[in-house]
Amino acid sequence: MKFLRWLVLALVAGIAAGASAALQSSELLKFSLVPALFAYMLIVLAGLSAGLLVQGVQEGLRLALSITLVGAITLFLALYLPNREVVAAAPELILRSVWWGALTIFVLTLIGIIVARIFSGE
Amino acid sequence: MRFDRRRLAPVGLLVLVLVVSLVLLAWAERRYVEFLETLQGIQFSVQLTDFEQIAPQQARLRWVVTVTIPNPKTPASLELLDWRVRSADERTHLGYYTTGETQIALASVTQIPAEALIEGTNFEKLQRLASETTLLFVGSARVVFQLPQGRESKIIPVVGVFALQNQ
Repeated sequence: MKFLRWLVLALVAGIAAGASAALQSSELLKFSLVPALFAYMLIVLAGLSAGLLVQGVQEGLRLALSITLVGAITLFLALYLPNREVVAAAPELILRSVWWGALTIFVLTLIGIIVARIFSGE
Repeated sequence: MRFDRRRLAPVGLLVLVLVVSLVLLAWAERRYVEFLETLQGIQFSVQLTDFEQIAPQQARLRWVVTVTIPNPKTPASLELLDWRVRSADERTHLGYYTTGETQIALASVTQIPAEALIEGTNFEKLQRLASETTLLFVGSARVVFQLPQGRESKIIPVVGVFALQNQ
């Protein structure tokens, strides 16, 4: 049951963080309704809400890594699907965005989780 | 499973963040795909409409550049850049021309008139090319798309082939 909860949490928060990271990527930023700062805020909020649902720093860190993994896959798909033909010829075009997006997700999610754990009194 | 009221707020917040981020992503992706489709579907055709010698050493050429965008969804404007008239083998350069208008708003079909005065040495070159009827009107178009968070500009090369004898 604990694993299932962790899996659902990682998937939901990861997809939310990945979708938000895609909004601030150089490919989609100009087409987004919201500025990059709002997308960063969404990632922190995903981390914050996930952080309120875990216990302990270690579990939080593991969750941040899982969210980053799911987020990076979501981000990759969000950038790959509309650019299938271009990316097939030159995958490096989106890999830079995916790499930076994954790093952003990890750092901001971790900040959110740490803030959540501080709020929880840990 | 026991329901924990304390978890309601973070679960609600997480679901809200998921829904908001997915809606925003779907909206941005749709605009992005529309932009890519517009960019791929944009077509240029250059047609010589008028050619006349207006003075002993001066000729005037008029073209209509037709820009076709099937089903335009992204507002866009266009600027014609660095237009040149060349011989078909591209060895003879007959002058450099631009349109008077800088930014032209694009509709599904937009016709842009372009004009060139060929005079002096360029006119002499044109006379020497009398046997070679096919000429090129070569240039590029800067298409500027208005997007929700700024502008995106793309430079598209355009080539028009025309024959003077047939006019």
